[in-house]
Amino acid sequence: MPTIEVYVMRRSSVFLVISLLIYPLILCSLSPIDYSGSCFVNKANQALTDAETAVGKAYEAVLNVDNAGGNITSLSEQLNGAVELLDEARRVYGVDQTFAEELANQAKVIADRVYEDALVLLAETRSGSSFWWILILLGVGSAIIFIGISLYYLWRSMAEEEDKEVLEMEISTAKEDSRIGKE
Amino acid sequence: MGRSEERVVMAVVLTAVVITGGMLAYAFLTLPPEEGFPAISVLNHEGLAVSPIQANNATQFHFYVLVENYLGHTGYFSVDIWMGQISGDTNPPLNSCAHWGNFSRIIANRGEHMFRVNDTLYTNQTVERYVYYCILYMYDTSTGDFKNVFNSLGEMTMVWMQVNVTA
Repeated sequence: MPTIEVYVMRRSSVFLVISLLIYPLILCSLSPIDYSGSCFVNKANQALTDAETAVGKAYEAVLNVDNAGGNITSLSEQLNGAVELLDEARRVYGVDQTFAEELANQAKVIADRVYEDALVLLAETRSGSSFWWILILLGVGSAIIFIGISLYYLWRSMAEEEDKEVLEMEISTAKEDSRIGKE
Repeated sequence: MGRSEERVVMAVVLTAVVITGGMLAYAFLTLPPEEGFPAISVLNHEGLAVSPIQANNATQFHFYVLVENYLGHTGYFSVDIWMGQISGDTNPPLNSCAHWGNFSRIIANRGEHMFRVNDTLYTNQTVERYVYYCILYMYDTSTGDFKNVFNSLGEMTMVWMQVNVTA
Protein backbone atom coordinates (compact mmCIF):
# COMPACT_ATOMS: atom_id res chain seq x y z
CA MET A 1 0.00 0.00 0.00
CA PRO A 2 1.48 3.35 -1.00
CA THR A 3 1.86 5.84 1.76
CA ILE A 4 0.69 9.44 1.52
CA GLU A 5 4.27 10.56 0.87
CA VAL A 6 4.63 8.24 -2.11
CA TYR A 7 1.27 9.44 -3.41
CA VAL A 8 2.35 13.09 -3.09
CA MET A 9 5.65 12.30 -4.77
CA ARG A 10 3.90 10.58 -7.64
CA ARG A 11 1.54 13.54 -8.03
CA SER A 12 4.51 15.91 -7.94
CA SER A 13 6.44 13.99 -10.57
CA VAL A 14 3.38 13.90 -12.85
CA PHE A 15 3.03 17.66 -12.37
CA LEU A 16 6.73 18.13 -13.08
CA VAL A 17 6.58 16.10 -16.26
CA ILE A 18 3.51 18.02 -17.49
CA SER A 19 5.19 21.32 -16.62
CA LEU A 20 8.30 20.33 -18.51
CA LEU A 21 6.17 19.53 -21.53
CA ILE A 22 4.05 22.70 -21.36
CA TYR A 23 6.86 25.12 -20.54
CA PRO A 24 8.54 25.01 -24.00
CA LEU A 25 5.13 25.45 -25.63
CA ILE A 26 4.44 28.60 -23.57
CA LEU A 27 7.96 29.80 -24.31
CA CYS A 28 7.44 29.26 -28.05
CA SER A 29 4.19 31.17 -28.13
CA LEU A 30 5.66 34.16 -26.26
CA SER A 31 9.05 34.46 -27.93
CA PRO A 32 9.71 35.95 -31.37
CA ILE A 33 11.35 32.66 -32.36
CA ASP A 34 9.32 30.24 -34.44
CA TYR A 35 9.97 26.63 -33.32
CA SER A 36 7.49 25.09 -35.72
CA GLY A 37 10.12 24.04 -38.28
CA SER A 38 12.88 21.52 -38.04
CA CYS A 39 15.30 24.32 -37.18
CA PHE A 40 14.79 27.52 -35.24
CA VAL A 41 13.68 30.37 -37.52
CA ASN A 42 13.36 33.92 -36.36
CA LYS A 43 9.82 35.17 -37.01
CA ALA A 44 10.91 38.62 -38.17
CA ASN A 45 13.54 37.10 -40.43
CA GLN A 46 10.93 34.75 -41.88
CA ALA A 47 8.56 37.68 -42.44
CA LEU A 48 11.34 39.54 -44.26
CA THR A 49 12.08 36.53 -46.46
CA ASP A 50 8.36 36.07 -47.23
CA ALA A 51 7.98 39.76 -48.09
CA GLU A 52 11.08 39.67 -50.34
CA THR A 53 9.68 36.66 -52.17
CA ALA A 54 6.26 38.33 -52.54
CA VAL A 55 7.81 41.56 -53.87
CA GLY A 56 9.96 39.59 -56.34
CA LYS A 57 6.93 37.66 -57.55
CA ALA A 58 4.89 40.85 -57.90
CA TYR A 59 7.74 42.54 -59.80
CA GLU A 60 7.87 39.61 -62.23
CA ALA A 61 4.11 39.89 -62.81
CA VAL A 62 4.39 43.66 -63.36
CA LEU A 63 7.28 43.09 -65.79
CA ASN A 64 5.11 40.66 -67.77
CA VAL A 65 2.39 43.32 -68.02
CA ASP A 66 5.03 45.84 -69.15
CA ASN A 67 6.34 43.46 -71.81
CA ALA A 68 2.77 42.82 -73.01
CA GLY A 69 2.39 46.58 -73.55
CA GLY A 70 0.18 47.34 -70.53
CA ASN A 71 0.31 50.51 -68.47
CA ILE A 72 2.16 49.67 -65.26
CA THR A 73 2.46 53.16 -63.73
CA SER A 74 -0.08 52.53 -60.97
CA LEU A 75 1.20 49.02 -60.23
CA SER A 76 4.81 50.25 -60.05
CA GLU A 77 3.86 53.00 -57.60
CA GLN A 78 2.04 50.54 -55.35
CA LEU A 79 4.87 48.03 -55.54
CA ASN A 80 7.39 50.74 -54.71
CA GLY A 81 5.36 51.34 -51.55
CA ALA A 82 5.96 47.71 -50.63
CA VAL A 83 9.66 48.02 -51.56
CA GLU A 84 10.04 51.05 -49.27
CA LEU A 85 8.37 49.21 -46.38
CA LEU A 86 10.69 46.27 -46.96
CA ASP A 87 13.74 48.56 -46.94
CA GLU A 88 12.53 50.10 -43.70
CA ALA A 89 11.93 46.63 -42.21
CA ARG A 90 15.53 45.68 -43.05
CA ARG A 91 16.78 48.90 -41.45
CA VAL A 92 14.90 48.42 -38.17
CA TYR A 93 15.50 44.66 -38.02
CA GLY A 94 18.57 45.01 -35.81
CA VAL A 95 16.80 47.41 -33.45
CA ASP A 96 13.17 46.32 -33.19
CA GLN A 97 12.35 42.90 -34.61
CA THR A 98 8.62 43.15 -33.83
CA PHE A 99 8.33 46.38 -35.81
CA ALA A 100 10.44 44.88 -38.61
CA GLU A 101 8.08 41.92 -38.76
CA GLU A 102 5.07 44.24 -38.86
CA LEU A 103 6.56 46.29 -41.71
CA ALA A 104 7.52 43.16 -43.64
CA ASN A 105 3.98 41.79 -43.27
CA GLN A 106 2.54 45.07 -44.57
CA ALA A 107 4.93 44.95 -47.52
CA LYS A 108 3.85 41.38 -48.26
CA VAL A 109 0.15 42.32 -48.21
CA ILE A 110 0.77 45.14 -50.73
CA ALA A 111 2.98 42.93 -52.92
CA ASP A 112 0.37 40.15 -52.96
CA ARG A 113 -2.31 42.65 -53.98
CA VAL A 114 -0.09 44.06 -56.74
CA TYR A 115 0.54 40.51 -57.96
CA GLU A 116 -3.20 39.80 -58.20
CA ASP A 117 -3.85 43.13 -59.96
CA ALA A 118 -0.98 42.49 -62.37
CA LEU A 119 -2.44 39.12 -63.36
CA VAL A 120 -5.81 40.77 -64.10
CA LEU A 121 -4.15 43.59 -66.06
CA LEU A 122 -2.02 41.08 -67.99
CA ALA A 123 -5.14 39.18 -69.07
CA GLU A 124 -6.84 42.44 -70.09
CA THR A 125 -3.77 43.65 -71.98
CA ARG A 126 -3.42 40.37 -73.84
CA SER A 127 -7.11 40.30 -74.83
CA GLY A 128 -6.85 43.96 -75.88
CA SER A 129 -3.77 43.33 -77.97
CA SER A 130 -5.38 40.30 -79.65
CA PHE A 131 -8.37 42.52 -80.50
CA TRP A 132 -5.99 44.97 -82.18
CA TRP A 133 -4.29 42.13 -84.00
CA ILE A 134 -7.67 40.94 -85.31
CA LEU A 135 -8.42 44.48 -86.49
CA ILE A 136 -5.03 44.75 -88.18
CA LEU A 137 -5.45 41.36 -89.87
CA LEU A 138 -8.93 42.34 -91.06
CA GLY A 139 -7.57 45.64 -92.38
CA VAL A 140 -4.65 44.00 -94.17
CA GLY A 141 -6.94 41.26 -95.55
CA SER A 142 -9.44 43.83 -96.89
CA ALA A 143 -6.62 45.84 -98.43
CA ILE A 144 -5.20 42.75 -100.17
CA ILE A 145 -8.66 41.85 -101.54
CA PHE A 146 -9.16 45.46 -102.70
CA ILE A 147 -5.79 45.54 -104.43
CA GLY A 148 -6.50 42.16 -106.04
CA ILE A 149 -9.86 43.34 -107.41
CA SER A 150 -8.30 46.61 -108.60
CA LEU A 151 -5.48 44.76 -110.34
CA TYR A 152 -8.00 42.41 -111.96
CA TYR A 153 -10.02 45.33 -113.33
CA LEU A 154 -6.84 47.10 -114.43
CA TRP A 155 -5.68 43.97 -116.23
CA ARG A 156 -9.15 43.54 -117.81
CA SER A 157 -9.37 47.16 -118.99
CA MET A 158 -5.84 46.98 -120.40
CA ALA A 159 -6.69 43.72 -122.18
CA GLU A 160 -9.87 45.29 -123.57
CA GLU A 161 -7.85 48.29 -124.71
CA GLU A 162 -5.40 45.97 -126.44
CA ASP A 163 -8.22 43.98 -128.05
CA LYS A 164 -9.77 47.25 -129.21
CA GLU A 165 -6.48 48.39 -130.73
CA VAL A 166 -6.03 45.01 -132.49
CA LEU A 167 -9.61 45.16 -133.73
CA GLU A 168 -9.17 48.72 -134.99
CA MET A 169 -5.94 47.68 -136.68
CA GLU A 170 -7.67 44.71 -138.28
CA ILE A 171 -10.56 46.93 -139.44
CA SER A 172 -8.17 49.47 -140.90
CA THR A 173 -6.19 46.68 -142.58
CA ALA A 174 -9.42 45.19 -143.97
CA LYS A 175 -10.48 48.64 -145.18
CA GLU A 176 -7.09 49.13 -146.75
CA ASP A 177 -7.31 45.68 -148.36
CA SER A 178 -10.80 46.35 -149.72
CA ARG A 179 -9.66 49.76 -151.02
CA ILE A 180 -6.70 48.14 -152.80
CA GLY A 181 -9.07 45.40 -154.12
CA LYS A 182 -11.44 48.03 -155.53
CA GLU A 183 -8.59 49.85 -157.17
CA MET B 1 -4.95 54.34 -121.48
CA GLY B 2 -8.48 55.63 -120.90
CA ARG B 3 -9.73 57.71 -117.96
CA SER B 4 -11.25 54.75 -116.15
CA GLU B 5 -7.99 52.80 -116.32
CA GLU B 6 -6.07 55.79 -115.03
CA ARG B 7 -8.43 56.00 -112.06
CA VAL B 8 -7.95 52.33 -111.33
CA VAL B 9 -4.17 52.70 -111.47
CA MET B 10 -4.33 55.75 -109.21
CA ALA B 11 -6.52 53.87 -106.72
CA VAL B 12 -4.12 50.94 -106.68
CA VAL B 13 -1.08 53.16 -106.23
CA LEU B 14 -2.74 55.19 -103.46
CA THR B 15 -3.90 52.07 -101.67
CA ALA B 16 -0.43 50.57 -101.90
CA VAL B 17 1.13 53.79 -100.57
CA VAL B 18 -1.35 54.01 -97.68
CA ILE B 19 -0.88 50.36 -96.69
CA THR B 20 2.90 50.48 -96.95
CA GLY B 21 2.99 53.74 -94.98
CA GLY B 22 0.71 52.30 -92.31
CA MET B 23 2.79 49.17 -91.98
CA LEU B 24 6.03 51.15 -91.74
CA ALA B 25 4.51 53.47 -89.12
CA TYR B 26 3.24 50.49 -87.13
CA ALA B 27 6.62 48.77 -87.33
CA PHE B 28 8.39 51.98 -86.25
CA LEU B 29 6.03 52.62 -83.33
CA THR B 30 6.24 49.06 -82.04
CA LEU B 31 10.02 48.79 -82.31
CA PRO B 32 11.50 47.38 -79.11
CA PRO B 33 13.42 50.12 -77.27
CA GLU B 34 17.14 50.01 -77.59
CA GLU B 35 18.68 48.02 -74.78
CA GLY B 36 21.42 49.47 -72.69
CA PHE B 37 22.85 49.43 -69.23
CA PRO B 38 21.60 50.98 -66.02
CA ALA B 39 23.72 53.80 -64.66
CA ILE B 40 24.55 54.92 -61.13
CA SER B 41 26.07 58.21 -60.02
CA VAL B 42 26.52 60.18 -56.81
CA LEU B 43 25.45 63.78 -56.40
CA ASN B 44 26.08 66.29 -53.64
CA HIS B 45 23.32 68.05 -51.65
CA GLU B 46 22.79 70.45 -54.58
CA GLY B 47 22.38 67.61 -57.05
CA LEU B 48 25.80 68.18 -58.63
CA ALA B 49 28.18 65.36 -59.46
CA VAL B 50 30.84 66.49 -56.99
CA SER B 51 33.10 64.38 -54.80
CA PRO B 52 34.39 64.86 -52.13
CA ILE B 53 31.78 66.67 -50.10
CA GLN B 54 32.43 68.47 -46.83
CA ALA B 55 30.72 67.67 -43.52
CA ASN B 56 31.05 68.99 -39.98
CA ASN B 57 31.58 66.93 -36.87
CA ALA B 58 28.33 65.58 -35.38
CA THR B 59 26.26 67.35 -38.01
CA GLN B 60 23.97 65.53 -40.38
CA PHE B 61 24.91 65.72 -44.04
CA HIS B 62 23.45 64.08 -47.09
CA PHE B 63 24.18 63.15 -50.67
CA TYR B 64 22.20 61.45 -53.39
CA VAL B 65 22.62 58.24 -55.33
CA LEU B 66 21.07 58.53 -58.76
CA VAL B 67 20.04 55.36 -60.60
CA GLU B 68 18.99 55.62 -64.25
CA ASN B 69 17.38 52.74 -66.09
CA TYR B 70 18.33 52.25 -69.76
CA LEU B 71 17.65 48.53 -69.76
CA GLY B 72 14.82 48.67 -72.27
CA HIS B 73 12.31 47.48 -69.68
CA THR B 74 11.26 48.14 -66.09
CA GLY B 75 13.90 47.09 -63.58
CA TYR B 76 13.99 46.32 -59.87
CA PHE B 77 17.20 47.86 -58.55
CA SER B 78 18.97 47.83 -55.25
CA VAL B 79 21.86 50.00 -54.12
CA ASP B 80 24.10 48.57 -51.44
CA ILE B 81 26.19 51.08 -49.50
CA TRP B 82 29.44 50.31 -47.71
CA MET B 83 31.42 52.82 -45.72
CA GLY B 84 35.08 52.94 -44.83
CA GLN B 85 37.69 55.37 -43.61
CA ILE B 86 40.43 56.56 -45.92
CA SER B 87 43.93 56.38 -44.58
CA GLY B 88 46.78 57.65 -46.72
CA ASP B 89 46.17 58.12 -50.42
CA THR B 90 44.18 55.03 -51.23
CA ASN B 91 40.58 54.18 -50.61
CA PRO B 92 39.93 51.26 -48.28
CA PRO B 93 39.22 47.92 -49.97
CA LEU B 94 35.54 47.02 -50.10
CA ASN B 95 35.95 44.00 -47.84
CA SER B 96 37.32 46.18 -45.05
CA CYS B 97 34.29 48.52 -45.14
CA ALA B 98 31.23 48.36 -42.93
CA HIS B 99 27.81 47.76 -44.43
CA TRP B 100 25.93 51.04 -44.20
CA GLY B 101 22.56 50.08 -45.66
CA ASN B 102 20.69 49.60 -48.87
CA PHE B 103 17.87 51.10 -50.91
CA SER B 104 15.63 49.44 -53.46
CA ARG B 105 13.33 50.77 -56.15
CA ILE B 106 11.40 49.65 -59.20
CA ILE B 107 12.30 52.03 -62.02
CA ALA B 108 10.53 52.21 -65.37
CA ASN B 109 12.50 52.09 -68.60
CA ARG B 110 14.24 55.42 -69.23
CA GLY B 111 13.26 56.40 -65.72
CA GLU B 112 15.48 57.44 -62.82
CA HIS B 113 15.39 57.63 -59.05
CA MET B 114 17.44 59.53 -56.49
CA PHE B 115 18.09 57.89 -53.13
CA ARG B 116 18.93 60.28 -50.34
CA VAL B 117 21.71 59.13 -48.04
CA ASN B 118 21.65 60.86 -44.65
CA ASP B 119 24.47 60.33 -42.20
CA THR B 120 26.31 61.96 -39.32
CA LEU B 121 30.02 61.50 -38.69
CA TYR B 122 32.00 62.23 -35.57
CA THR B 123 35.63 63.20 -35.37
CA ASN B 124 38.07 64.90 -33.06
CA GLN B 125 40.70 65.21 -35.80
CA THR B 126 41.20 68.25 -38.00
CA VAL B 127 39.99 66.32 -41.03
CA GLU B 128 38.94 62.72 -41.46
CA ARG B 129 38.08 61.25 -44.81
CA TYR B 130 35.45 58.61 -45.39
CA VAL B 131 34.26 56.84 -48.50
CA TYR B 132 30.80 55.50 -49.28
CA TYR B 133 30.80 52.79 -51.94
CA CYS B 134 27.48 52.47 -53.73
CA ILE B 135 27.06 49.16 -55.58
CA LEU B 136 24.21 48.63 -57.98
CA TYR B 137 22.27 45.36 -58.03
CA MET B 138 19.36 44.27 -60.15
CA TYR B 139 16.68 41.70 -59.42
CA ASP B 140 17.03 38.62 -61.60
CA THR B 141 13.63 36.99 -62.19
CA SER B 142 15.22 33.71 -63.27
CA THR B 143 16.98 33.17 -59.96
CA GLY B 144 14.75 35.27 -57.70
CA ASP B 145 17.54 37.31 -56.16
CA PHE B 146 19.61 40.43 -56.75
CA LYS B 147 22.67 40.23 -58.98
CA ASN B 148 25.54 42.64 -59.62
CA VAL B 149 25.09 44.88 -62.64
CA PHE B 150 27.96 44.94 -65.11
CA ASN B 151 28.67 47.65 -67.66
CA SER B 152 29.65 47.20 -71.32
CA LEU B 153 33.25 46.60 -70.27
CA GLY B 154 32.21 43.83 -67.90
CA GLU B 155 32.97 45.93 -64.81
CA MET B 156 30.79 45.92 -61.72
CA THR B 157 28.58 49.01 -61.70
CA MET B 158 29.51 51.03 -58.63
CA VAL B 159 30.41 54.57 -57.62
CA TRP B 160 31.81 56.13 -54.50
CA MET B 161 31.38 59.37 -52.63
CA GLN B 162 34.14 60.79 -50.47
CA VAL B 163 33.16 62.75 -47.38
CA ASN B 164 35.67 64.97 -45.57
CA VAL B 165 34.65 65.56 -41.98
CA THR B 166 36.09 68.48 -40.11
CA ALA B 167 36.08 68.84 -36.33
